[in-house]
Amino acid sequence: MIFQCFNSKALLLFKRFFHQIVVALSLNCLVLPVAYADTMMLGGWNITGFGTIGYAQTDKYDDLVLKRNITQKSQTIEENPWLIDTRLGLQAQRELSPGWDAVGQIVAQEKVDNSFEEAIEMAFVRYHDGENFSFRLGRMVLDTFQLSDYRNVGYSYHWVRPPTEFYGWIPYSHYDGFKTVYDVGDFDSLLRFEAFIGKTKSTVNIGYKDDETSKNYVKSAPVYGGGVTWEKDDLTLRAYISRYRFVENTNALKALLNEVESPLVTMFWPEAQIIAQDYAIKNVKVTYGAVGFSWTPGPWHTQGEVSFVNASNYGTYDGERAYFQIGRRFGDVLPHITFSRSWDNRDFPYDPPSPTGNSGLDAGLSVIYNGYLKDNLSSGTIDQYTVSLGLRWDFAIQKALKVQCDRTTLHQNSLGVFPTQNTFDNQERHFSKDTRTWCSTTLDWVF
Amino acid sequence: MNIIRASLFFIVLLAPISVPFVFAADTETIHVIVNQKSELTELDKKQVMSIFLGRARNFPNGRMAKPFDHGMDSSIRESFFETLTGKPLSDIDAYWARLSYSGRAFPPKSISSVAALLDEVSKNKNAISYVKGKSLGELSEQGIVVVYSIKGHQ
Repeated sequence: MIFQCFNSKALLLFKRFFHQIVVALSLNCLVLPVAYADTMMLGGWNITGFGTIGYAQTDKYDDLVLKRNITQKSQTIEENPWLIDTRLGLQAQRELSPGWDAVGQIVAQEKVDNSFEEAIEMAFVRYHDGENFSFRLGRMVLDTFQLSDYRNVGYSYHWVRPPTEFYGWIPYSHYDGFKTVYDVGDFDSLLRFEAFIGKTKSTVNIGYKDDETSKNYVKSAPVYGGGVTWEKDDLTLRAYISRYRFVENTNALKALLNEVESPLVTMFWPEAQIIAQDYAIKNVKVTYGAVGFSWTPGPWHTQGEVSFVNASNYGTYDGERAYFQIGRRFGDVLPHITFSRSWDNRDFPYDPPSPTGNSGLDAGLSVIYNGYLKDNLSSGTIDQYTVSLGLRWDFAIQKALKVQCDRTTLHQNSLGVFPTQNTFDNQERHFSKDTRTWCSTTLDWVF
Repeated sequence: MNIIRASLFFIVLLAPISVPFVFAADTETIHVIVNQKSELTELDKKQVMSIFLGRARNFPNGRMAKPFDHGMDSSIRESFFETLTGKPLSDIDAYWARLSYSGRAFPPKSISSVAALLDEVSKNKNAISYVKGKSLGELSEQGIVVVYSIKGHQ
C-alpha cells in the first residue's frame, strides 16, 4: 500500500515537474564545466542559464500554507517544501544577422500547468536599428512590475523570493505579442520608453482544494501597456501601466453563475444574479499601474515599488501594494530588511437572502451566499503585511546562498495567496487576523 | 663634455633600476583597448562604464561598440569592474542576470585567453576590451590603441 502510494506520488511529481528538471539539469551539467571559460556557444547559439535550489517551511502551520505565487498548486507545495523556490532555467540567444537576434528561454518550476508550452518564458525575434529603436515579436516575459520580468532568476535579487504581497498574486509571467523600445540618452543617463500589446494565459490554484473549481484557467486578450525608465549612475526610476481584458470566466465563477441561474434561486433570490454579475470577469478590463525605484550608492542597496490594481470587480484582485527594501554589503555578505504591504479595503455590501420558510431552500441559498459569494471574495483578497529579514552570501563566482525569515500579519480572510487547509465544500472559509513566521533558504546560481 | 659623460654614467648606472619600474607600471595598469580603425583616441570613465554595462551600444563617434570580456573567474575582470563601478563583481553579475534573463541586453562575450582576446580586438574594428601587462608598443604592433587606463591597480 505504502509502495503504491509512493509510486503514485512519485509518478505524479515526475509528470508535473521532474521531466523539466531533468532536461534543464542535464543541460546545466553540460554547460557548467565551461562556465568560467569562454561564452558557451552551441551551433551559433549563446547558451546561458540559471538555477535555484530552495527549501521553505511550507508545512509549518496546520491552518495556512506558504506559497510563492498563485500559479503553484497548494497541496503540492505543502507536501514538498523544496519545490516552492526551486527552478532551473536555460536560455539561448543568437545573432541572426546585423541588427537581428533571437532569444529563447525555458524554465522548469512547480506550476499548476506544467506543460512544456507554459514552461517557455521567451521565444522572440528582435530587430534593433543600431540607434534608438528595437522591436520584438513572439513570446516575452511580462515587465508590468519592476521585478516581474526576472523574478524567476533568484541570483539577480537578494530575497529568497520577491515580496509575496506585491508579486504573489500575479497570474501571468509571459505574453505573446509585439513590443517596441525606444532608448534615448548619452553616456551620462538613459531614458527608455516601452510599449507592448499581445495576449496571455495561465492556470492558477487559488485556495487549497484540488478540484475543477480551484484550478482556474485565466486568459487575457488584448493586454497592452507601456512604461518609462530613467537610469543615471546608481539610480533607476520606473513607471509602468498596463491593461488586461479577461476573455472568459474562471471555473470558480462559472460554478457561481451556474448556481444563481437555477429556477429556484431566480424565484426566491432574484438579486443573486445581479450580485453574481459583479463577480463575472468575462470581458472585464483591469488596469495595473506601478512606480518603482532602485538606488545603490556604494555598499547600500535600496529599492521600492508601489502599485495599484483597478478592477472594480469582485471576481479578481484589487487594491494597492508597496514594498521597501534596504540592505548593505559587507564584502561577500549582504544583510537586508524589507517591509511589504498589500491593502484590500473592499466591503461585502450584499445582504443575505431573506428566509423563504423552506429550510432546505434556505440552506441552499446560504451556500450560494457564504460558500460562493463571500468565499470567492476571500480568494481574491490580499490584505496583509510582511517584515522580512534576509542574508545573501556570495560565496563563489556567480553563486549565492540566501536565508530569509518572513513575519506576516494577515488580516481577516486574507486568503488570496496563502490558502487555509480548512477548506469546506459550499461553506465560507474563515481566517481571523493573525501573525505567521516562515523561514526559507536557497542556493542560486547563473552560468 | 664632463657633464655629458657624467650624465651618460648616471643613465647607464640607473637604467637597470629604472627599467623594472617602467615595466612594473605597465603590469599594474589596466588598459582599455580598441582597434586602430575605430578612429578613437580617448574615452572617459563614464563612456567605458556605459559600454561595458550595456547602457550604450555605440562609441561616442557613432560607431557600434562590441565589448569583449575576460573569463568569469579572471582576476583582471574583478579588478576592472570594481575599479570602474565601485561595485563588487557579484553585484555586476547580478546586474547582468537581470538584463540578460529578461531579454533586455546581454553581457559582453567572454574570452578566457588573453591572446585570443587581443586577436579579436586586432581584427574587429568595433571591438573594445581591456588588458593588463601589455606595453603600448606591443599593442600598437597588433593594430590596437589604448583609449583609457586604470593606473596602479594590483
